[in-house]
Amino acid sequence: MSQSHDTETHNGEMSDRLMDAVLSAGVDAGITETEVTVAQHVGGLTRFANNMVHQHVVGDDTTVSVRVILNGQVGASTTNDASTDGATAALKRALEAARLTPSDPSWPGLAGPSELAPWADRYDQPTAEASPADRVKVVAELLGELGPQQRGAGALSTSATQVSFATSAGARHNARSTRASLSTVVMGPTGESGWAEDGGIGIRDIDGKAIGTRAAALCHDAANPQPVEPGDHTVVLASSAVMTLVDHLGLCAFSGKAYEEGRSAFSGRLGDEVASPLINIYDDALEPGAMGLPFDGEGTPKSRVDLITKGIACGVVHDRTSGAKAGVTSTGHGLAGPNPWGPYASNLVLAPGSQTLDELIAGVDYGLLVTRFWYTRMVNPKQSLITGMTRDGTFRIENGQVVGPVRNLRFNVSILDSLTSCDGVGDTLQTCCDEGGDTRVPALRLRSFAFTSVTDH
Amino acid sequence: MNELEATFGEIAQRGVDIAIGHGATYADARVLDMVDEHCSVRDGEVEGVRQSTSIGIGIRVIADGCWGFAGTRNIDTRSVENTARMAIEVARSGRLLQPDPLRLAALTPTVAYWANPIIEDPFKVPLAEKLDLLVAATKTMGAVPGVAVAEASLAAWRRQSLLVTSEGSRIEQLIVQCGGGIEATAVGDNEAQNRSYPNSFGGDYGTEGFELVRRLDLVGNAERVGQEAVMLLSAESCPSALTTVVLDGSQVALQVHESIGHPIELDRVLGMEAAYAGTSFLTPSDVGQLEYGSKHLNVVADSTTPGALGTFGFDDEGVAACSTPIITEGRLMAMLTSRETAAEVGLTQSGATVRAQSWAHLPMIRMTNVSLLPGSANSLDELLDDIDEGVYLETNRSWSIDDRRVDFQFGTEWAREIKGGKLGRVLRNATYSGRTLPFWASLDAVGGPDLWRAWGLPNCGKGQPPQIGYVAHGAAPARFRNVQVGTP
Repeated sequence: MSQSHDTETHNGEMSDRLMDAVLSAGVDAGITETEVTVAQHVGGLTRFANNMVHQHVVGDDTTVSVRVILNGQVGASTTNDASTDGATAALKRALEAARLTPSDPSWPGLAGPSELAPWADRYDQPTAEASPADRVKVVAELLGELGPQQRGAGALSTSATQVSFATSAGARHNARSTRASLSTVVMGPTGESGWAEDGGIGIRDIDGKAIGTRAAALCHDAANPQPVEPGDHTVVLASSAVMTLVDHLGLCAFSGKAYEEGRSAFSGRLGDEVASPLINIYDDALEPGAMGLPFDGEGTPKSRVDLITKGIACGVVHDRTSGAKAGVTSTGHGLAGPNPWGPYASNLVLAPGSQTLDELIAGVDYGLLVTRFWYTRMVNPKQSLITGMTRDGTFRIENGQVVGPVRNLRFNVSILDSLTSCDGVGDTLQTCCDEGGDTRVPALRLRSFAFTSVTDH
Repeated sequence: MNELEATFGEIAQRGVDIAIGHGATYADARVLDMVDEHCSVRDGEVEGVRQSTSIGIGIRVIADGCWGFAGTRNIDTRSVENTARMAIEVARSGRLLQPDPLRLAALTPTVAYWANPIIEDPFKVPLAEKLDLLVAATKTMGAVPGVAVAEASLAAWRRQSLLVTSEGSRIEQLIVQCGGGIEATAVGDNEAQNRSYPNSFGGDYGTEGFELVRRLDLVGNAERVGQEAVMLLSAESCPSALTTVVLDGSQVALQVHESIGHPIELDRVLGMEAAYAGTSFLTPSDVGQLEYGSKHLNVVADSTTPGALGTFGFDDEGVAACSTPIITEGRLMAMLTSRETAAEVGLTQSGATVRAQSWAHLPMIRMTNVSLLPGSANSLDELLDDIDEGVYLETNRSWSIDDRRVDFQFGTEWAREIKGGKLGRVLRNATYSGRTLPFWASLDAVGGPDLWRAWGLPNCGKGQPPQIGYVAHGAAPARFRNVQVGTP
C-alpha cells in the first residue's frame, strides 16, 4: 500500500485490544471456549494486457473472526467492523449460532498455549508500502524486453498481511508477512505465447526485466508450432508444470481427513512405494524461501511433514479435528474454522535433485518439453487422475536437443503413476505462486505421460 | 428501501465529487453491504455454521485516460475522500503504459431502486430448521449400506449496494440469493464415487428466497443419491466410442458455460484476460458471421431471468439488466460487453454484464444468465427415442478446456448406456471430449420448456487473482451426435 493511501496500516495494538475485548466478552457470556482472529490486509494489483495497464487496484480490509463453543456446540461469525462494538457483536452472533447447533461429539477443543518455531522475518516494508507507480515501473521494465510485435499480459500484486490469534485456552500468536508476485504471458503475432513468473516476500527481488526477457524468448521460440501425435511420451516438465502435479497431490492425497475416510489416493498406501525413489515431497512453511505465516488457521504452529520420501508414501497432514480422529496431534495444516474441507498442505516442496534442465533434456531421445499446464482438474481423486492442457510453450525433444515447438496437447494422467516413471530431477527450486500458492519445485523428467488429444495452436 | 442511500448517499457522492475535482473525467462510488451464511453437515453432525458480514466502498475513476480503483472498509468522509484521491493516484500512475485514453459507451443516467422478489427470506428461516434439514438428508444418505461419507450444505447471500456515478446515476439494489445441495461418497478398493443432487460442487443456487431450497426436496432425494453412489462402485467403466450422447440439463449448463459463456466475453476476446484465464477463439469480426452450431443452438444472455443466479436490476456500471440474443439458429450475434469494451469495438451501448465480487474488487465482464433456449422435445424419452446406441451423461464431475476455449473434456458422475431408445446399464468414470464448434454443430435436439430450468453456478472464476462470480445457465437435456466418450 502506498504511504499516501491514508486508510489503514498494520496495527498490533488494535488487534490486541479487539482480541482482549472478545475474550473478555466471552467470559462474561459464560462461553466455554472462545477463539478470535484479527486479520489486517493491505494490497495492490497492477494488471496489464496488450502492453497497457488495464486493471489497477489498491485496497485494504480488516476482518475479525470469532468462534465460540458451548459444550461442544460451535458457532462462528466474521465481520469487517473492526471496532470493539463490531467485534463483540460478532461474538454475539457466533453465540446465537452455537446455541442453535447440535453438539459436535468429535469437537477437539481450541488450541492452547504453544511456542512458535524460530522463524525468519517475512515482512518487507518496501513491499508493504509499494505504490502503484512502483508496480508500474516493474511492469514497464518487463514490457520493455518484448519484441516489436509481441504483446504482454500479466499481473503484479503486492500485499502485506498481519494476523493475530488468541483463544480462551491460552493460545496467542501474532505474525506478519508480505508477498509480491509477477507473472506474464507474452504473445506473438501468429498466436504463439511464452510465460514466466517470479515471487517472494519482497518486490525488490522481482526482476521485471528478466521475466520479460524469459517470456519473450519463449514466445519467440514457440512460433509456428508443428503437429504432434498424442500418446504416451517422455516429458521434461519445467517447474511450473511440476507445480500443477504437486498441488493436485495436495488436493487428492495429502489430507489426513480424506485419508481417514478412504477417499485419498494415499488411503491404505502409507508405507507403499507410490513414486520413483528420486521423488521426495514434504510440506514446510518454516524453511527459508517459504512464504506465509508460522501458525495455521486454528493457531497450531506449523511443522514440517514428510509426505513422500524416496518414493514411499510416508505421511499426511492434519488439523485438530482430523488429528483427533486419527489419534495424532495437528501438524499445523488447519484452515480457519469452521472448515468442512479438512487440512491442507499449502507450502509443498518437491526436493531438488542434481541435474540441470539441459541435462534432463539431454537424456531424452524423443519427447516433449512442457512449460506449464492449464485448466487442470481432478478426474478421479482416489487414482490421482487429472486432466488438463499444455500452454505457453511446448516443444519437441529429439536426440537430447529441443528441436522446435509443437501444438498444445491434452493430458490424462495418474500423478502418482507418472511420478513413478521419473528418472531425473532438476537441481533448481523455483517458487511457483502464480495461482496464489507457495509451491517450490524443480523440473522433472518423466518417462511416461499420457497425452490424449492435440489442439491446432 | 433506499437504506444505503439514506446512510451513505452523501458520502458516496462526496467520493465522486473529490475524484472529479482532482481531474477525473469519470468516477463512480459503490457501497456494498454483504451478509453471508453457510451451513454444512457431514454424516449427521454439524460441521460448520458461519455467518459473515462485510461492508465497504470502492471508488473507480478514469484520470489521464486510465482506470484507477481504490477500496476501503471505512465509509466515513475522511476515508472516502482519501480513497478517492488514491484512486486518482492509481489511475495516473498507469499513464506511462496507456497510449490512448480509454472511452466508455454512452449511458443515460438512472435513479432507481431494485430488489429481487422473494417469498421466504433465507436469513429469517431459523438456523435450527436449516440444520435439521441437512442432518436429516445426511442421515438418510448415510443409512444406505456402502455410503462412506454423506454431506449437505446450504448457503445464503444478501447484497445491498448503492452506486453513485459522476454521470448522475444513483442506483440502490437488494439482491438475496440462496441454495444448497447434498452429496454421497462411496469408497471401494481403488475407487471413490460421488453422487450429488441437484448438482455437484455445492448444489443449485438462485436469486430467490428459501422457497428454492424447499423446492429442491433434499431429504426426499437423499436415499436415491446414496444408492446411486454405491451403485457406481460396481458399475462398468464407460467404453470408448464415437457415439450419440444425451446430456442432462446441468451438464448442458456447464457445457454452455465453458464453451459459449467464456469465449463470448469481449474482454477475453480482446486479450485482457490472456495471462490467466486465457483468450478466445473468437474475434470481434465473428459477430454476425460465425456459424457457432446447428440451427438448434439458440442462446441469450438474459440478466432478467426470474430467479436465476445471474439476475439483477442493474450491473455494477449502472446499465439496466437486459436480454441479448447471443446465438440465433446457430449464428453468433453478439458478445458480453462492458462500457469500455463496447466502445472499443464501436458499439453504442454495453450489454449490462459488469460485476465485481465485492466492494474491494474492480468490476469486470461476467456472465449473467447465458442460456440455451428450449427446443421442442417434450421429454427425455423423446430425446432417447431414435438412438440405437449411445450414452446418457448426468451431473458434472470434472471439467477442462484449453486457453482458447476449443478443446474440452468433461466427466460426469453418472452415465447410462442407451440401447434401442432406452436407458440401460449404469456406467462409471465416463468422460466425453470434443472441440467447441464441431460439438455445437452436432446438436440435433434440445428439450422443450417443461424440461428447461436455470442452473446456478456460484463458483465462476475470472481475473487474476480470480474473482468469484455468481452466474446461471438455463438449459434442458440435449442430444449431440458423433461425440467421443470413454474412461481416461
